[in-house]
Amino acid sequence: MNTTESTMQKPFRSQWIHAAARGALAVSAAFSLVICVLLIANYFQIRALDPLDSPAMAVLYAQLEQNPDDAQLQEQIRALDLLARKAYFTSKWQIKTGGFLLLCGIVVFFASAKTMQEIEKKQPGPESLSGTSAFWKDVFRARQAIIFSGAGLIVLSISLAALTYSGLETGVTAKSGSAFPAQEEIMQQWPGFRGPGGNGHGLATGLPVSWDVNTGTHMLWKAAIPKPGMSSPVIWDDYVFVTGADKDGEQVYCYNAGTGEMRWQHEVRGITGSPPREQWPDVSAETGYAAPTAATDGQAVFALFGTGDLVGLDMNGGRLWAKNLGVPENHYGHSSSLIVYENLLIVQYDQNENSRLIAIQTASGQTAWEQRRGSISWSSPICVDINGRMELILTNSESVHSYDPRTGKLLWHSDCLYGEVAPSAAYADGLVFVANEYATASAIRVPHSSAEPEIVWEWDEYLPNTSSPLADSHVLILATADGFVNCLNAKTGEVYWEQEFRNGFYASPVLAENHVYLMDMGGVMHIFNMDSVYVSAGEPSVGEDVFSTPGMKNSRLYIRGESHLFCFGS
Amino acid sequence: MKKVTSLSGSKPKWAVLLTAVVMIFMAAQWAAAENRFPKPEFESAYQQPRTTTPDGRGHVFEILDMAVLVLMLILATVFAHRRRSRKALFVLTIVSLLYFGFWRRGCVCPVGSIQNMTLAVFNQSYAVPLTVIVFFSIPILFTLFFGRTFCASVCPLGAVQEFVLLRPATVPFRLSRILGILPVLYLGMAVLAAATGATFLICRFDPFVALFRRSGSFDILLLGLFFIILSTVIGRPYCRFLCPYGVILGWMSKLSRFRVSISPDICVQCRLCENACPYGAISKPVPDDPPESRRTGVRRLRALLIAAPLVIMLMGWSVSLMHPLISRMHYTVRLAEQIVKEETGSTDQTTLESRGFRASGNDPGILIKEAVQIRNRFRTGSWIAGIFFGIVIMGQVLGLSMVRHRNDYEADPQSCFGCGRCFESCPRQHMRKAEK
Amino acid sequence: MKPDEKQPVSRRDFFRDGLRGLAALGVATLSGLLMHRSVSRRTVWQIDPDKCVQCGRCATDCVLDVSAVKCVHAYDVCGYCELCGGYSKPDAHRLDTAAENQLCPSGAIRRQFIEDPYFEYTIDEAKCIGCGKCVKGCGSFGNGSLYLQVRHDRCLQCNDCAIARNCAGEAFRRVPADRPYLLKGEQGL
Repeated sequence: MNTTESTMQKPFRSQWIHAAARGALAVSAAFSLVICVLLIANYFQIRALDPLDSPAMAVLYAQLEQNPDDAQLQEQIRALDLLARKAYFTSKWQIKTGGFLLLCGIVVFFASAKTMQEIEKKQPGPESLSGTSAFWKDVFRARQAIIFSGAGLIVLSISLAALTYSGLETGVTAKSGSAFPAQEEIMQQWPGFRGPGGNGHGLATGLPVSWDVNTGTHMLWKAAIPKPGMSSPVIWDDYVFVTGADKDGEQVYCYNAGTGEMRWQHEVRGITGSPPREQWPDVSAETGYAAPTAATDGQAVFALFGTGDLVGLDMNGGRLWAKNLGVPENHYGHSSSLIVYENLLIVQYDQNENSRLIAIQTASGQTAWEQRRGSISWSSPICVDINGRMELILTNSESVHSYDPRTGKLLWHSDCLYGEVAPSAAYADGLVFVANEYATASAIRVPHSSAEPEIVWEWDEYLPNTSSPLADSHVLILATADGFVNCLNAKTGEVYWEQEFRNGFYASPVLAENHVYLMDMGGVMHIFNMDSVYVSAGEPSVGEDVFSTPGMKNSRLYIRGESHLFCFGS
Repeated sequence: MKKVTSLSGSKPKWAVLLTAVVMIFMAAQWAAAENRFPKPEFESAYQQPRTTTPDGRGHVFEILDMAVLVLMLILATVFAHRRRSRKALFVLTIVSLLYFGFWRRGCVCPVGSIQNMTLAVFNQSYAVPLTVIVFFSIPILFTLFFGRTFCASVCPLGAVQEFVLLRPATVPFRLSRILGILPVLYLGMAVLAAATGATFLICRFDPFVALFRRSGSFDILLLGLFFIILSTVIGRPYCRFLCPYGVILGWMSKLSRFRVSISPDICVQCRLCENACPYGAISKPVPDDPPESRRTGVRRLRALLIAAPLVIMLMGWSVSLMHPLISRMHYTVRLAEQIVKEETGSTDQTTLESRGFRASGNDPGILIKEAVQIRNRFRTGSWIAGIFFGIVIMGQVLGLSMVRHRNDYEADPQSCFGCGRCFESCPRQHMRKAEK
Repeated sequence: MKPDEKQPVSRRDFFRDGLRGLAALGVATLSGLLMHRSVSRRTVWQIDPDKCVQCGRCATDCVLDVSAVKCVHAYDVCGYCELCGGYSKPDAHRLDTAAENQLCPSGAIRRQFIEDPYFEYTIDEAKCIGCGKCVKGCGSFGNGSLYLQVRHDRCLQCNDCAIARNCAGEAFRRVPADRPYLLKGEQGL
């Protein structure tokens, strides 16, 4: 009523505009509605039948497959294809134009509606009288409503949470159980340099203490290795892996542990970023291009060479992935060995510049994490369980560092080394042992959580140049490059005994059943008790020079000589 | 075995250096030589074309955007506080709709910028563009001093709804308070999603940006149409019942130095403005006859204050229970769940994402570990979000339990958009005009 | 001044003033801190061709009706082969331009003879819909010289890129606006 009154009072011009606006309103409403319906129809049509992916076309293609030379069929396809593409671009044009027209329609609709409203404008007025009690009622009800909706929110959250199935946690355990071998399994094998965890301890039993390569006593087999290398054998079940390289190429060899016959050999080449032959780095003869020992997890074997080429091969020699880590800037040649932890391949890549510690996913070859490191080294990482925490311990020319193998986080470090460090660390019973020629041998108590590492004792007499220490809870064995072997009290550093041999030691001592196996450079294996008194168990020879560390599994000992791979067993 | 130290005395370092230099040079050629089919050597005079790289919207336009934003904020503030002109504000609204809406087509808008700011705070590697910072902070600073003049006629989302409002229906006070909780929930979830790097929820479900672009997914376009139709009968439904930026501006506006007022000077309590506000932002005078004694009120308030911490923690706990569900906003979590399903054999259906993941050769174990880490972040985040919801809800309950005395008709600073409709209905405004 | 005219600042106003100051300071500090990291580092969306798995969502998920993503060609990576995995269907019987032998659903690749035995392939961007079929073909059988890129003359730079959200290879990322393309070949160096 109010409305009509006010309209009546308006002058004629307003009435005329009002009528025009009303007309525009009706027209634009009808127009917008039609366009809107058309657009929605277009959408459903396209969704039901995509012109670029029509079933009719698929049928024709299937027919063409039967008669590839049917000219009529070809013509048909071409015609339909043209039609389809026309239909596609037409529909795109329709959507674009339709959208624009719809927008125009809507704008006109609202503009005219607004104009009408402006003309019909009501006089402002109060609400119908509602009394003061309504005010308070409103407040009370609003408070109540908010309390109820809060409660509703809580109930909704809890019920939604109860209804949601979260499958991630179970998945992780299932995955970690199957993706990489269990610790017990690894302990039975010889998966890398210096055995499981790289600590020199093996679970082999009944290893021979004597043999004769000439008569064949206790020698199970002997196989030639095509290319030279300083790397050591690694063993998983029936597979023995060694690497070899010279200026002509880099190779990975796999031998049958039972018979000594070569299962396969893999030539490493064609890696993106790998340097061409004439650009290979200079290395010393005593390092060569195949100094880093391979590592395996029973599903794959990984090998690194002096050119920075890194490959992952399956157990049949098929390449899983390969990459070049960048040519190492190393004046003797890169020699740090690989180690596998769970599903990560750990690469100690220390060099003159840009030293890194890299963890690579064993399955894909992709980098999982990377840590910058400082000075150069020739040593290898060890990965040991220290009071329930897995630690990755590395040495370089200044320090010993410990990292979390899962994340690469630095746990602790101690600056107690000096010189060109090639010996790796050893661990036993809470103490980490490091040593290097011209530096000292140190026993470091591994700190708990955030505490600083503590050097328990130091000793600086006969120190190893290359050979890594070997430790158990009582004694520490150190072998020097000029033939001295010292046995120290692991807890105090007091010297138990000292022996001098004719040849020096590059190989590291390894332990099985309380027997230390220590290979000298002349190919003589010194077998003695891991004890505070020196008791020799045998000194058999392989008859050729040896620089690598022996491998062992079950009751067999594997030795890589200058040109042969030997297997000894009872 | 690893090898050898001081035996070879000379260290040919220059050779190493030289090798490195040559290596860098060689790397490019080596990589190029990896192609399956070598690059041909053309005998004819054929010239290889270059890949074209058309440029995007120039940097100049960004500066223009910021300048227009500031200019429009100043104009809106002048129109709402000094000129007190509804017409001028409406014209400005149309300008905003044309410039920020149809010409600039949406991104970044201040509403969405909340997420960029959040992501930048939580992710050190994300560099937030200068435009975003300006779009986020300038409207807040204006609101701190002059109220929500940004909402009045600068925000293009508000402008659409302002333009299409025809016959506003009154939303009952109770209902508007319940729906008023939604923006808070939306804000909490959007911040959680942005902080965890999952997604930008606000942009994803922005109903109007698809209209500005006249293109977008069908669902969102339909949602836009729905909001347009809804906005003809309910005043600014998005601003009042969804907009997360509105929550922040509402709080800032409570602190504002100058407020948009219905009357230019004094309220004569003529009640003529009672029907003027389509957004329910006019607070009526508080009657002098509370239906209960002061003691009852105080006792209730005390009980509520004691219950508040409990309710807040309960809210935090219950929302945190939902974190596995909420964490599905994150791509990695969704992917990991799918991979777990595939690995455990509970589905034989692979998805495009899982096939893409398999093609990349990444380790599922690492993916799942990562997903678990993300989910843990969601647990912490949803606790905080829940506590935030609890605080807001308890704040509202407490606010409704402490009714302060008020004599006049006032624009509620928190919900007033400063559209200027009430100016016209105030007789004092007309008197002032006449005086001039 | 008369004592009753001295308007004491009410407690509430004082409180409000303080809070306002704090809020303004907070917003300014936050902006300042983030600005420190932001200046001259505007970013735009781009596809990393090395991560792209050609899932096809670039064609369907872009908010634009015809996607802002199009195929581009790195000519210096191309082998100019007669048998092109990006141009011809894998089961094509003849290596010609006939519709039944072309892989591209919208016929956006132009094939042109250069000299024996080389052919040049050019993308007609007006027709390209960014489906990535040719990219897949070229990557599987050829050098991978065809690849998808966000075309910045089309891209709206949505704050929440609808393709990035659903990209099956997680190949979308924000790149600095002064180098808005991730190109293959020499142009990418």
